[in-house]
Amino acid sequence: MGECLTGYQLNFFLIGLSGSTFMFTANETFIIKSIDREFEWNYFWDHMMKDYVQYMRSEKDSLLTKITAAYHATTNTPIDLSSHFMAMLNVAHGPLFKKSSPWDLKPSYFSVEKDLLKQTGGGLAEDITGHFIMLPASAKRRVMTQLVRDTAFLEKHEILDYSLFIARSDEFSPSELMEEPYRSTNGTVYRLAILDIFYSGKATFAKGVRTLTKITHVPALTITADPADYRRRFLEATDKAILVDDSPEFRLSDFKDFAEQ
Amino acid sequence: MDDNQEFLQSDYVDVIGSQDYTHLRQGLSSYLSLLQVLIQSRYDEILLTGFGHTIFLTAFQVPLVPQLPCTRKRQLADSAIFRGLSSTERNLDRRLTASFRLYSYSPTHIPDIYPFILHLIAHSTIMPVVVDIPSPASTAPVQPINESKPTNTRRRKWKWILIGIAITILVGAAILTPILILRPAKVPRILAAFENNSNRTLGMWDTDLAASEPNSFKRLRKQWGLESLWKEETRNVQEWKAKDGLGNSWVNA
Repeated sequence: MGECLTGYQLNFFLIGLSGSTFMFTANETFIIKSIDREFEWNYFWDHMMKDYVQYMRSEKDSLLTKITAAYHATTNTPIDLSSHFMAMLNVAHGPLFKKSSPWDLKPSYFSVEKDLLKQTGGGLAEDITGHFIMLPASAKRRVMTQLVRDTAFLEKHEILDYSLFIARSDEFSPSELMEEPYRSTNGTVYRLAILDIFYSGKATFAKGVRTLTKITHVPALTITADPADYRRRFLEATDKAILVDDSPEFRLSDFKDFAEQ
Repeated sequence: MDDNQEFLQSDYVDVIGSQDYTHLRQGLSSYLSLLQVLIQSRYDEILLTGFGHTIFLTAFQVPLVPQLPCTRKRQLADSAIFRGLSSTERNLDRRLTASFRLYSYSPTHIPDIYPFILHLIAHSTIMPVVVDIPSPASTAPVQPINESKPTNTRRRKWKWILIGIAITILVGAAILTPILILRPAKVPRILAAFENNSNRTLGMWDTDLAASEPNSFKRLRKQWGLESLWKEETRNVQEWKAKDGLGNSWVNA
């Protein structure tokens, strides 16, 4: 189980592998992430922003990260220190999620990435046996249905390298449980969000990287993969990560719109 | 009796007393005097003592050096002496017309006699060559420094080691510079700049984008039921806390 997962355990305050800086509002309800790659910001702002807003307004249960504000911060310093920031909802905010560590699941590509994850102290998802998501079949169906839609939107913009953020808590009271859409039969609550939706293969820089890796015959990385292939692996990885606790084995091919891709 | 002791006791070795060491340290004129002695000497090799170690000077006859093949000249120029010299000083080897060989018991003392060697090069047409030999008490065979191993091979090895170190440093710097220097400093400085400017608040940041995409985020926040929470959270930028790329905490930038 988990062979195709290279998710890593997030240290809540540490830097991400992308090199971004994460800041938190006072009670950690919102995360402010620096978008250090200029081309990522440019693509999102110029080509994806309107689509994102429209999509998020129409897909009320979307698992895409909820962006609440964007900033272009500039300074008056002699050296240009301008940078971009995105504010997002922290789905794992609150004391009920303090005790457990969140996980970030993404499909496996080049083995070097696994080594990199290990070097940075991250735990591979395949090493966390017993921590995978356990949902009723109906909840898994809802999750996968939504992921199929959300990833279709991302594929349209050739977004790569996104991952599924998973936070779990066993601390919810019975009354609070009822408000949570993704909960197991034994009372574990899962909060999910698709993170890192800014690396587009359509950006000039990304095209250059992809061409370079093709010329040099470097195996596909998460940032040079074919968007459709990345989406397929992402969904398959998620499908394996979510176990069904009250029904026969769930099959991704049950979803007609994904099977037709 | 080994070769060294035999050499020391041979007739063509003259021993100059320890006072000559003092002379060597007294200035160029002393060196010049010594050179004159050497050149005019009937001896081909002279033993200098009093350095704390022993140095032999072997004077080759002038006609000998031009007969040396070019590779031998380059070896001389690449010898241990020249490794410590600048390129300008190295060019002096063009003035080669004669050669001395300096024998030292201890290569660690060779730097002590660099001034003398430099003087030989600069003020004469002499090419000195340092050769290390063991103490007479030692049974180790004589092993000239510049002949113990092909000099070019040694230099080549060191060249690649230095290139490797340089590449490692460059690659390391390329990777670490953005992480260690630029980015951790960047975000705090940006926030500090905002904090120091009373006109800049979190809301003002948003307006830059609101001009091109008015109220998009605001509508989304309302749709998600986050507007009041958002206002509460962003009321005071000074309440923000963060960690930089190295995991260091900084609050209020």
